[in-house]
Amino acid sequence: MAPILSARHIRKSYGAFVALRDISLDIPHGERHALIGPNGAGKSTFIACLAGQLSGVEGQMLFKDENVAALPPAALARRGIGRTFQISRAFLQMTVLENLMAAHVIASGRWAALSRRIYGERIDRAHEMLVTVGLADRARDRVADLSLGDRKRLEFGMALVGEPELLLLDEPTAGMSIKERHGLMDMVAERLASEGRTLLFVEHDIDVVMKIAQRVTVMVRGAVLAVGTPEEIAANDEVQAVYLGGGH
Amino acid sequence: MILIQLVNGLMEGMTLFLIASGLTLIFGVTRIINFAHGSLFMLGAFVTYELVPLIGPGTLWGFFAAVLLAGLAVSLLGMLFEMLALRRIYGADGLMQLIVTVALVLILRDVVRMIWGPNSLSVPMPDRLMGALQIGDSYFPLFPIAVFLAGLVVVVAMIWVIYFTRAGILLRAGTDDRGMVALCGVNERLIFTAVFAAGAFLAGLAGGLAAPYGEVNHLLDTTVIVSAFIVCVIGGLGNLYGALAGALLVGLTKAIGVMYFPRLSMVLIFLIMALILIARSMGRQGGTAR
Amino acid sequence: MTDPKTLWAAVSRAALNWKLLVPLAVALELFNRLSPASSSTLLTEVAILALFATSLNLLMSFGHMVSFGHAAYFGLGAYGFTLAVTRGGLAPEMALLVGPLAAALGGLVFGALCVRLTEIYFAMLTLACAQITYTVLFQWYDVTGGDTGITGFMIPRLGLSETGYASLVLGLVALALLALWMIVKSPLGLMIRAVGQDRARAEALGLAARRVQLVAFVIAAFFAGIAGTLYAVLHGSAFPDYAGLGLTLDGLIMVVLGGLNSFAGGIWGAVIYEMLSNFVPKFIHQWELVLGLLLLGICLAMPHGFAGLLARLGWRGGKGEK
Repeated sequence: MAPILSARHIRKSYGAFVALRDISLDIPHGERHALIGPNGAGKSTFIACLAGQLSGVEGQMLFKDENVAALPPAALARRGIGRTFQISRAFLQMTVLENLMAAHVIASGRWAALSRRIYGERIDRAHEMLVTVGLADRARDRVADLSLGDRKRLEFGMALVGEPELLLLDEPTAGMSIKERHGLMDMVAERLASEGRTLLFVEHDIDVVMKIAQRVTVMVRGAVLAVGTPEEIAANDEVQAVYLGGGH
Repeated sequence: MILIQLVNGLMEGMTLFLIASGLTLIFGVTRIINFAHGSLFMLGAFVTYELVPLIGPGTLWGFFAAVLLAGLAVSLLGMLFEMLALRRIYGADGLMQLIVTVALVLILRDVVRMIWGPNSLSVPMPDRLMGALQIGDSYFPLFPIAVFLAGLVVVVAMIWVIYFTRAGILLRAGTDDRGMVALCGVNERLIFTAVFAAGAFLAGLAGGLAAPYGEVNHLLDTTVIVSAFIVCVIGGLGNLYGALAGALLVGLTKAIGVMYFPRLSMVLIFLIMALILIARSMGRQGGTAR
Repeated sequence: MTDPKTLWAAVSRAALNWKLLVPLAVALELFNRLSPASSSTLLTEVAILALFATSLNLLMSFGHMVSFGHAAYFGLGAYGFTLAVTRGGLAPEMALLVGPLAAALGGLVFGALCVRLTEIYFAMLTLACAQITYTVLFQWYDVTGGDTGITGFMIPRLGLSETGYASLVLGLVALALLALWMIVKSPLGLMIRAVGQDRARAEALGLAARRVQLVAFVIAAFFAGIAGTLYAVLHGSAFPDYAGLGLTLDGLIMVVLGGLNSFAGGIWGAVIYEMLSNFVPKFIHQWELVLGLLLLGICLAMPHGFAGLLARLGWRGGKGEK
């Protein structure tokens, strides 16, 4: 299948420190792809590159055969790349419902700003999404009062509102309990599979990776060490040595 | 004529640098924008006005001693302000910190008006610096040259302190990473106070040096802080060399612009700043990379 | 839940309380009618400043953009109106429209530049823009009359009595505040708040953050321009100080006094500030000294008190990470 995302020779350095050295990665349509590696491997940097957050990135990034490497974050989002952040970044001083409505308003383009009609049109879908991510009873609460896990759920819901074709999740389960992790990621996988969306996620919990991902990329010190199915990765001696066996 | 303005521009640029470098140093370490920095400059000028007749009116050493003492006095005040007020709000948000320094602006302005009245005062120039220096057919006024050189001495001293002393190493460590300083086993509070005192000293010094070359009044605070902000925007906060380049650019543009657009030289500076900003934001995409 | 009214309450926690506002408006108008002319003038000034502070508050509390040059748009409104009368030969009634439009235009030009920067640089640049405006007004004698301003070009208050003009201003300011409230509660308002709270998050959702900030800036400038125009009409004059740093700081102080992060903060702040500034100088000459000490006291006594939104977000300057 033709890749939805094709990163070619991505390089990014901060002064003398090279964070990413020549990363190339193809992600087919509809795949759930995990990005793993020890701390400092450049996973989050790579996600930030894909989301247009960084400047001075070398290389090509083809999204649906268009080079989107130089585009700012908002333009990428409008083309269908959604993301969540490593540290949850929902709008803290708004209510949960307002957060989702903000996502709806933004996803509806600039003319939506002029009429309040969108509130009436989208409110049902916002409530549906709250049910999906399990926050139905928290709609009126301020995000600042939510637990970390609930914020991550909310963020996932917000990212889905824009109906992204490619969803980038940077450590979606960080700081959660094991049960919460599996709950969230099962829900994410199910939802994305039913809608045919592509997922690229950074994850430290190997169990979650093995269960959710269809293919895995292992990064070490700014380079790709190995790519393959979870089984292949688990059986890869090099990966074992560097990462899995490293007592991480 | 253009040469004279060149010298004046250099002098103004140097005073601006002394102020902006203080702002930048304080911001680099404490993350506070000291809106009262112009007020400290103003206070330096007023204290110099008081001290010059006491120490040695008209003499060269008397003037510079007065300026130095004025810098120290302002530094002491800045230190007090840091210890009594700012220290208690380092954890608060930036706007609140800004408002606290605005409060100091209001207080100092009324205090200055109470002590020295609302009218402009003038500080006598040292006799030795009254004349002009003749090079070939051109005459250069001595005083601005002297101020520029004095400023240069301060700059060299500052660079020496920052790069070659223990205090400077701590300062740079504090700017890069506040945790580092604590790791070095140094009292963080002490560094904050010291940096604020140093910044206030530079502002007071600048105020004293520039005092004889213009009017000294209670409106100086805002004019100065605005110019210093423009310098910081051009040079980038926390960047000493940027501040130097920005200050000289603003000083020279002001002085030379006055010849061609006597009333709108500030507008010229604004246009330059706008161009630099636009060029800079085109250079980086998105604009919000953190 | 599809009922728009329920949604209204859901999306906006605090809806307008008409039962409270209508009696308040009636009481203000009664006060205006029954009190001496000097009180009516004070009432007019309070109303104008409340509008000015609220327009600044739109930027500060909701857009999280701290403008250090908001007086520029007050001044542009006043001068836009005045110059339309003196230079454009318009009747004052017609020129009323020119003031706010001039302010909005100024907001568009300066705002386009300022929104390229964030946080403290934004504040510095707005200050620089305002000082440029002030300098031009102050020094361009041929057009603006320089430091002596422009006076005597019209009958103050459009020929109305103090009481009559106060009624007019109260009505107009009420309408303007209502419009601002509607903006805050509109989808645009939601976008403005989103950018204010977490710009990168909003951009990741596909929002062109700069454009939203620019729109907010122009709106705020427009309403500040209305305030400036009404002020110029009140006194039948325009002075460079209308665009001065003093008024900008007054506005900031009002918002801080009244309380950040609430729509009413600017209004309360303007009322408190005007009361104090009329009351204190009767006892002590050093009004600025008193104000400075008051501010210092408020900030030190409750550094985290009313700063909710700004404290937790954005101005990470501080020592937020500690």
